[in-house]
Amino acid sequence: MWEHALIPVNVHRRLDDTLTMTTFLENFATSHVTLVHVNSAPEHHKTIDVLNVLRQQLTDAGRETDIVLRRGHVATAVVEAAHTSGSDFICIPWRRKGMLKRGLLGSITTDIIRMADIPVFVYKKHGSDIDGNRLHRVLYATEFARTDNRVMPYLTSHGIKATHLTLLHVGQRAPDPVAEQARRVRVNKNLNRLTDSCRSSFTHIDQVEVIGSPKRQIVRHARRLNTDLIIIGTFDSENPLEQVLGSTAEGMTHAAPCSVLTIPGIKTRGGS
Amino acid sequence: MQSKQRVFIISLLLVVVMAAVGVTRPELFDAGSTFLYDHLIAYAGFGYLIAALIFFVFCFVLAFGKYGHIKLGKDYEKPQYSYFGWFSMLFAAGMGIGLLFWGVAEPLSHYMEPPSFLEPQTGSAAEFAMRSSFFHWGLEPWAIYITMSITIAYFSFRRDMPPLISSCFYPLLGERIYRWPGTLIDIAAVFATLFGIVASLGFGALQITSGLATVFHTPDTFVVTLIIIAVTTICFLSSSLTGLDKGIQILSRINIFLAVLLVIFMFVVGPTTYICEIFTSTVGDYLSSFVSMSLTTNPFQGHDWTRSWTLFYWAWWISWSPFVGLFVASISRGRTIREFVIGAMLVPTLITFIWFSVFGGAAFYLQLHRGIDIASLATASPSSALFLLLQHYPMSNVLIVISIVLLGVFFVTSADSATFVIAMMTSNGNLSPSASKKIFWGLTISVMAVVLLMSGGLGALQKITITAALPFTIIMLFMCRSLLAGLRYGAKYEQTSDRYDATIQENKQSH
Repeated sequence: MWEHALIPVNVHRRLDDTLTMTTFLENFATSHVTLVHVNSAPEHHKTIDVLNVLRQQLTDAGRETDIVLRRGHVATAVVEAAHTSGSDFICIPWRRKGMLKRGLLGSITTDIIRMADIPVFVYKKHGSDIDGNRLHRVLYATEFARTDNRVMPYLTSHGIKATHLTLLHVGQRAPDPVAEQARRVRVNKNLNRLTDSCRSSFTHIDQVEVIGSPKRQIVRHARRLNTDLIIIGTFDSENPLEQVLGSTAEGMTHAAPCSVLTIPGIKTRGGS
Repeated sequence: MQSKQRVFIISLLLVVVMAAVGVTRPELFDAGSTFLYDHLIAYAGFGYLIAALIFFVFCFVLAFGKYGHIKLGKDYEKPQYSYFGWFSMLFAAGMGIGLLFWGVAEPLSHYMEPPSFLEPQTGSAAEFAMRSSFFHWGLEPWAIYITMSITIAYFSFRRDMPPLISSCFYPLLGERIYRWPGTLIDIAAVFATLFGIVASLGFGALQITSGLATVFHTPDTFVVTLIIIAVTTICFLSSSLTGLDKGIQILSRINIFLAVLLVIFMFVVGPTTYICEIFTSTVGDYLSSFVSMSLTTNPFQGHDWTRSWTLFYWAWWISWSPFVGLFVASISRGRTIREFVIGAMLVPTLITFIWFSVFGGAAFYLQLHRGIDIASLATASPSSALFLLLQHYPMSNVLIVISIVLLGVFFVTSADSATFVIAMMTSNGNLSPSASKKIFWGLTISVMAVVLLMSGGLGALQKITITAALPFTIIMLFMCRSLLAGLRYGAKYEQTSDRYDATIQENKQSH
């Protein structure tokens, strides 16, 4: 499930983050890495050299590594490379970009999340990963029907080596007190069901149910619980307003205090 | 303070304080209200225009979108009132009294004193006058009312919440609607409704006084006005105590019947063709320039005119919307959103256009083709404009008496509805408020109208009412959001939750 990772590499930047991220991938038991470099011009020999050095380091760390070179639109090329190489997921080291820069130049990470049909892991260095980049706390922001079918197999397959799992549901308040009561009962029922399903994979499982803006609440709880990894399911809504504003997952990567794993879902009609 | 009585007690205190200031220090009251009014219109005026257009678009999106079929009540419920009864009450509560006041006076006022980019007393000024009158009383004012009433009706009748403005905020505020945020919203609604109806009662009484003076040569004095207010109070309290179903409906039906009779008479006596021409050309003019009129404040030339008319009206409709919204909601149970929007927006608007075409058209005919200078007199005294017009028609005395009866009955129905709405709002949304509360608020309305007429603080009170438009514009924008959240929730979760649970069960079984 997490054996084969595809890592986009920008040779013009320092590769420390990429190397640290590959250490973090131990938490997923990843054994095979494909390094992809996308360039608009013919490859310079220096690019090849840098990639070869990186490959050597990863091979020395015990990972089978290969290199793919592509040209064109970066996000498209990365997603295509992931598809053709048979990667299980895409890993991207996070690089902070100001709001203005993001607005003007866009974000390749966000584009990849939007376009990919396999999980995308965005790695952020986090305060709690001092003991060898180990993963302790995972937070799954569930949208139940919209995301569970795709996300739960990843959570229950013992592929993520974490001890704590927080199941967070950010809902919308019902229009009246009676409906609100019914909503809460339904949410608790669904959270209990998810807890039962995940019990064999995690030592501790907490449930949190809140109302509000999903992005804001997920970030708030991730920070409060000192989470190492947020897992979030994405879905392509047909709601035009949601399409224009972008998904919660796309916005999340910028605001999250820790790494984010987005798992794409199936296309939904108006988000039911 | 008991939360159940909080709205009632605070509203009462506010009313007493305002009335005391209005009576004892009318000059201070006037200066304060003028300052507030001028600044709000000057700095937030364009916001009213944008908000009104948003409400209009919102209504159409609701009606013709995927939520149009949703019933304002339970799915099995049927409308409580027939179409005729419903339209009669919509019209009576919403605009009836205003149309009598302005049906003749407004087109003539615009004709005499148009914005500075138009030459007064010209064909262009007349065209502009009719178009502006249609605009000020047309689709957007009704869209403001509908936005308010549809939200209240949805949360009250479909969601079983008390019929209060605060109930509409449950999706956004949750349990806080039962605490201070909700209380403040309801107090603002009581405040706007009470002061609005006091101002209307005061000015309406003055108009009836001038009408009686015109026909029966009764003295145009304060004592006559006082008697008129006393008689009206007895009438609307009696009507209010017989209950909404009987009182307002019977009065509204009588009134619509009389109004239709008056309009048909005026139309037949004519000039019929002239009125038809004015109607068709102004409707075309109105529709083709709807967007530009909806958004223009005439910043280069004619800004003062826009401030005194369009922005005043928009602020007035918005500040009046809690009352009309609550009342219209209470008579619209069982209708679908689509039916409600189409019915409440198009039918009253059409009636309004006919009304303006008949009365405004007749006045223009006298002015432009018969050489009778009715416009100057009507502009100088808008309250007697209708009677000035009727004097030039056969059986003028009968017509004026009918108009006075109409005015009185519209008056009674408005005050009756307002008393009911205020009593309901100060009884935690109880749809059958106690008789004592209705009598209390009814008397408060009348006493305030009298004392403020005496002290000269009625105009200031009207300005204070209009200042309520600013908070209500913001409240209404959030209401739109809240209603959409409620509708979306219903469509998204309540219809799919069972399916989702069933899917889970199926998945479990298959594993």
